[in-house]
Amino acid sequence: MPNHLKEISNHDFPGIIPAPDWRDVGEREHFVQFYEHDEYLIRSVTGFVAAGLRSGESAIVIATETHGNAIDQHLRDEGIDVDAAREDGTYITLDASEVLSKFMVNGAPDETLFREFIGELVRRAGQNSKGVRAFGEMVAVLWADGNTDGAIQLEQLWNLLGKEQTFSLFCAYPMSGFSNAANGQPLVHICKEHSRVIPGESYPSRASADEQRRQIAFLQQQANSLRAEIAERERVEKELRRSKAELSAFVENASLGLHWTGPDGVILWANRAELELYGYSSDEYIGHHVSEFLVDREHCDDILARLDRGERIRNYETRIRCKDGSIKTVLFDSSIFREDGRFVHTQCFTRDISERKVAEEAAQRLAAIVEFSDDAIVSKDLNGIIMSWNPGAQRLFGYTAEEAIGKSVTILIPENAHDEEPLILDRIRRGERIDHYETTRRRKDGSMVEISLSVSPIKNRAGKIIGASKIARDISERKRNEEATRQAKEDLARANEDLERRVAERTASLQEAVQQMEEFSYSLSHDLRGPLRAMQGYCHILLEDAASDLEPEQFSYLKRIGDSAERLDRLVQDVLAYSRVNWMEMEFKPVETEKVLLDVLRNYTGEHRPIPEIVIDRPLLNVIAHEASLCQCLSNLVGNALKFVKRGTVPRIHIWTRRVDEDVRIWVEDNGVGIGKDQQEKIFNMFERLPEARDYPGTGVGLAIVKKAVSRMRGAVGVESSPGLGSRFWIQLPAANS
Amino acid sequence: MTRDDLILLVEDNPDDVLFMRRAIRQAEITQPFQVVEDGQKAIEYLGHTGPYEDSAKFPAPRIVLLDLKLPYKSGLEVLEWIRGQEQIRTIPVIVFTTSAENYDVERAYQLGANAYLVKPANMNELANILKSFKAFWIDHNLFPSTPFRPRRVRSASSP
Repeated sequence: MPNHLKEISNHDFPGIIPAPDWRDVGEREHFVQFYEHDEYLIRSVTGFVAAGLRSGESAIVIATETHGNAIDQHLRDEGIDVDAAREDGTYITLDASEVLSKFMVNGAPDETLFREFIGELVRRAGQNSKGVRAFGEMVAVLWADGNTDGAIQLEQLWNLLGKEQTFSLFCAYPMSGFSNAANGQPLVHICKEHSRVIPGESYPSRASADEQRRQIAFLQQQANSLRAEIAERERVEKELRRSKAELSAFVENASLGLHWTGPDGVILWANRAELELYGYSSDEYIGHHVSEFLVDREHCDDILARLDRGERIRNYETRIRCKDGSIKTVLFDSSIFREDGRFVHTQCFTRDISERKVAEEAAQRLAAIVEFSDDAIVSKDLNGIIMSWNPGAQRLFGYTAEEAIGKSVTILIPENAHDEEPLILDRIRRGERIDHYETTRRRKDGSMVEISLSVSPIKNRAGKIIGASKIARDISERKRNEEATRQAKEDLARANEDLERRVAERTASLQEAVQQMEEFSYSLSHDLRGPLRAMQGYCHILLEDAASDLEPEQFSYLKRIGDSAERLDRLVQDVLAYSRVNWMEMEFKPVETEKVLLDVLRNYTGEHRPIPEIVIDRPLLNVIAHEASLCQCLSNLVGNALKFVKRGTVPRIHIWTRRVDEDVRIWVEDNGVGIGKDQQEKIFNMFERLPEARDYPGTGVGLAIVKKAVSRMRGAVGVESSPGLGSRFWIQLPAANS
Repeated sequence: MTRDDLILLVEDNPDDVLFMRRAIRQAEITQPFQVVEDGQKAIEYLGHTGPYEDSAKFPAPRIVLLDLKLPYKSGLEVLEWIRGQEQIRTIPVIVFTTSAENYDVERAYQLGANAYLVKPANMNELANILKSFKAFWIDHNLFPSTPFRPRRVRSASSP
């Protein structure tokens, strides 16, 4: 074995275990070289080939182009005349891929083709030489292509060939081809196909056998622990992958909003919950500065500064502007994720507290309402123990909150009403409410207060009744008012009754008076008139029977007695008529004025001398009246018109009607003596007679009857007149429709 | 003149009786007049009781002139009684009174009065009324037959 090879190896690879002595290669040896660096392989092959050429053997190099050229170069450097050797056929170089194409069929080496080509090659190389050395890299090419089966099959074909022909074979595999753990088994196969295995550069080839065994043991242990470590790593890796997947799914799908921002405040990532919370798509949110979304932009700088100082942010309340423009109040929990002390990103958890915020505000409002309510607002549990007590309650009952809370509400209930509380609590337990229950309660100072009480059940979140709220209002004032009102009503009712009783009494006495008046009238007509008629009658008889026996004076006296009696009789009749008009029950209905008037005229005119001239402007409008009373009125007016004319004058009466708003005015115009202005008011008074009328018979009651009757018929009466020019009397009564 | 032409005058006032007699004379009424002074006597007369038991001496009247304001029994009571008596209820009753009160007029007709006349204050008028009375009730009116005797035929009364 040439020493220079050894020397070269040692020289070129300081610190690395030296290569084998290439001169010792057996003539049928099939060895394999594993290498870590190309340089090492090239040195090995060069040594192998050069040693053969120098000892008169021929060499076959089937290599990649790069390797082939490098080997050529190295051989030249070794002083080998490569070109001469190639010329005489002792140095044969072939491209590995080209050779492979000669016998590879469907990815597997074909034995026949292999024998034909390679066998021929080896045979020719051995013809004029002492032996044949071959270097083949085809298996490495196949191996590198991943065709490990093809590589092993090819090694086997070489071995088969080696049994028929004599040559030594150098195979080489780069160690990098076996870095994958999956190739551990093929490595064993490859080693099996070779008579000698030359390990990689790291192997201490020149150590003692003991050292080598120790080394092997060490390597075995190392291999075992590596295998275990690999397995462990695989398991851990799998575990990591799984937990990473789990974690990211968990974080992505968390109901809590999560985001990362860079040190500059730009959002790097956000989970679905956060995007959904604000309504943004990931494009609208991620990549934007977080302050774009903060209502209070300065919060961003504040948070980043605090984080940078090493603080951990907890429950940082801020407001976020959502996509739809609404504002959400959220709490941030933020920390920094650091790598090697470097601020990589923040980790921020977001909790939406908008609803809680609204609820808090509502609760504050409610609390304020309770606080400032004039009513006493108290809550109690189902045992009647006071749980809360507002200032209104203090004002109403006198107890402070400290004094009342924890006590039973019975401190407020008077002794005689202690059974009220169990009844109230029973109803509350049944979920009923009590509205405006009016009762009496006792103040701290023992005085009583009238209250209106409303009690409602208080339920917990689960809907279970846990107590009651009571609202009490002081109604003492109202009660007093009610009492006063009631008293006033009673007084009024009593006064009313009294009044009614008195009215009834008066009515009764009036009715009695009317009755008496009627009886009086009746007796007047009978008892007073009887003697008068007797006087008249006897005067008449005397005047008729004894006229011839009487002196003229006596005759005159008798006549005066008769006339006086007659006038008194008429007066009595008129007074009766007047009182009848006063007291009579009247029923008002539409009356045909013309018909009534014609009846009146019929009674008068037949016996009147001289025959009066009467003009009626037809048609006469109808009125609402009591017919008999209207008849009386017209009769009196017409009677006056006929009576009060100058002696010898033919009475002329003109009668017409005129509409006056809702009324009808009936006019009776005469050509009588007329009435002075100063007398016109008086003539409607009882017994009023004008001086001018002294010569006319009459009682002074007729127009009083007219006035009384018309006023009772809701009408009016009047006169227009001048002395000597006649009079126009009118009566006005409600018009009848039609 | 026969007894059953009798006119019964129920009148308590002697003055009125006197005026009536005078007016009857002036009106030339020839029928006999029987006067009773109060309601009670009127009933006794018509029922032939008390002093008027003798129906021959006190025959049933052909017509009654009845005042209303009477002692003991009022005219309206007398009228009501007459209309309740089977045998005499058809006798014409003429109310002759000073009362012009509606109540009296209504009531009188309700109880079956055949006429209602108001006594006038004037004697001449009284005479006129009785003249009319004679013309209507005595000269022209036909009466129902009395229970005591078949109705007298007017032609047979003249001999």
